[in-house]
Amino acid sequence: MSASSILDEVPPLSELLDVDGFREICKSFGELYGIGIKLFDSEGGKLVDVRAGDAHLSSYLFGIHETQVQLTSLVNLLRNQPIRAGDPAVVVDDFVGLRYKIAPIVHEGSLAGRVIFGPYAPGDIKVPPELAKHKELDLYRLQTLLRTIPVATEKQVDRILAHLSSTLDVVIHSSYKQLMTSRVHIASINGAFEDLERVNKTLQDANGQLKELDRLKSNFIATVSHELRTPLTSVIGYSEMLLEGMAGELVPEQRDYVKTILEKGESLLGLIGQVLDLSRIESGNVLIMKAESEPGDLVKLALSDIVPQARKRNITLETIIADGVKPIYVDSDKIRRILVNLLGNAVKFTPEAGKIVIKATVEDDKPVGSDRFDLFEPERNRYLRIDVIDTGIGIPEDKLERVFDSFFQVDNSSTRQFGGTGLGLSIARNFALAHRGSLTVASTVGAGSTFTLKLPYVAAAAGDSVAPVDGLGATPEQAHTTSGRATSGTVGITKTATR
Amino acid sequence: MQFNTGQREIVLKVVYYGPPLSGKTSNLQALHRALKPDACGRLTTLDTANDRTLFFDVLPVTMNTRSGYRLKLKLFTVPGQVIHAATRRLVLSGADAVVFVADSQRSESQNNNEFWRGMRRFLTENGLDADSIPVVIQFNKRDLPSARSIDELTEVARKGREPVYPAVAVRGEGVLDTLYGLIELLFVDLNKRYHFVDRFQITAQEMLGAIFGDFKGAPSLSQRADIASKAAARSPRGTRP
Repeated sequence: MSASSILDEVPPLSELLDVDGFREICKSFGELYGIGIKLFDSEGGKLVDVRAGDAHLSSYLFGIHETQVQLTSLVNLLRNQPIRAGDPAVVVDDFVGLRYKIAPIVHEGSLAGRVIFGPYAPGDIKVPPELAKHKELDLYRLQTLLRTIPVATEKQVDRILAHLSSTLDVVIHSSYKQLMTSRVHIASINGAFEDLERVNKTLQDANGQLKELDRLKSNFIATVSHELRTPLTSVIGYSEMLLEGMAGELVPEQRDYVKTILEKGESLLGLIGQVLDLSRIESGNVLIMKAESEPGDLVKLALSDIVPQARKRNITLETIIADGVKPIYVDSDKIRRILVNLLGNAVKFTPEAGKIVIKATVEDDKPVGSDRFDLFEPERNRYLRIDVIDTGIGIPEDKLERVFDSFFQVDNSSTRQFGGTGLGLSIARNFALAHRGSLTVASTVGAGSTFTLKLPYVAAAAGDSVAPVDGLGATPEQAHTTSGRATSGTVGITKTATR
Repeated sequence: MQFNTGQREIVLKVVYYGPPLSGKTSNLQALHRALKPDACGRLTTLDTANDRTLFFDVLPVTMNTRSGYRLKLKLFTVPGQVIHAATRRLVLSGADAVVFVADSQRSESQNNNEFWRGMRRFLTENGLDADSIPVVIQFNKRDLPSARSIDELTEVARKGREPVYPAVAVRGEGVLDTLYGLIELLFVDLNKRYHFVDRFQITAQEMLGAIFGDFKGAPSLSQRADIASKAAARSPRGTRP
């Protein structure tokens, strides 16, 4: 059924009525008044036929050829007598002097069918004399049978018909409501589903285009970065050669200039390296080479990069390696770069004569969802936890999570005090996620920040699996199971291997 | 328009469309109270929750014409709530004319606009021409203090092709005028598309008389403005008559 016809098509009476139920109602009417009731739909189909006291009379008349013909034409007349919605009941008298009334059944102003009430005797009736010509007809018997038909006045019949019509109206109306409700409900759900499918298709197409654009962007960045690095290596190399005096001794002013060229070149190379790292992460091409590493060594190695800057600013560096910290399977280069980034930030944002603590501990986490009602003690996940705690300027709460977004700067003004590209933390978190670990931050403005790196202790063999780089801010448990958004908004796969 | 040859019956569909709580059901309830009882059928409300229409209301108005045809006008409302967009589109399908019931309150302007655009989109999606289908706009809730002024509504009426009628549906004010105006428009459209008068020998006067009796609808806001300006032009030295 089309959408428009659902509302516009008026269902036939057989669909509108619970015919069996309504037959029971008609039967009770028939028994109450002793008069038969017939119900036809607008196409002439019989829906209900309740006979009352006329059963014997009908059988008798039907058994005689002449009256059988008359009876058949009476039935046709009752069924086909023209009647319109809104017309009053039509009176039909039959050949033995009995009477029927035909009333229209109206639904929403249209003719839905007809109800035929009868036969009844409009008064004391006598056998019409013209029936005497039917030789087979026993007039005495006919008169006896006619006396069994109930007598009703027009007023009584009109009241009964009005009562029946209003009952029928209520039944039809409530059925119509139910039928239309279910039809519209189904059609509406279908319509809504089609709308959703259309929107989903649009979103899928848009998503596909975005993914393609993202892939093109990553390719572009990787290519451009690579192309930039090649000439930059020459700039740095020749600067170093100049400083080493390979082209002759430099006067102090020339040396200062070349030093500046070298410094800026190296800074630019670092930036290009970071951009390359990010594009590799986004395209899922970061290789994690795991080997057993001593956490204390990892911390020491990272600190060695930072010590000169810290000394320059009179910042105290304190290292705490807790008892029980054991070697861990990680990519030591990636972990060193995470720690160098965290420590570098800590030094950058801590005022002169401040203090930075780097603390390594072991932590057990309960799996997500476990509680004290668990039947068995849940298996705990063991992590290496490294906190980098500074006494710096801190990060406002509303920007805490955003510091891990690519190119995000807490102070984004053109006059900002601290330099940086905004890529370091984004890369660091992705490296942590690639280890199925996490990198989180807690901070109080004016008091300092604590960056926490958590790396799971896993067996060497487990490190061979493919680890998704995803889920910014995902807990280690989530990182095992979910595939969410990466720092840049894409999902990458990092291949891990054991060295 | 549906034509039932067997029963010599013509069915016309009018949809009351508009934003949530603008008074679409109130319009039908007021019509049910006000129209001639022999013309007006039972007002059916399909599924309600918290006094809000979930599917639609339908009020059939029927009349026998002198030419022997039975003319049935089925008045539908749509559910206003945003989530029932699919049902609104469904109810609009096969519509012969639309009454857009707008909320006069200033704060409802955006809602009115969104539903207006939605109505036009759904008409098009149902294969109907949103630019030519007979539409009247009713600005309901004229009794609220935050309602837009009549001058503003007259301005709206001047901008568009649709006649605009002010109304307070809960009190029945303007409801008959709106339907009267719509049927006048609908009749012109039917005559243009189906040569209604020639084909069925039914005139607008007969149709309006059968539904409204002696009631004569008030002119729309732009008609009133035209009448006022013509009267002003006729009076000497531009003084008001």
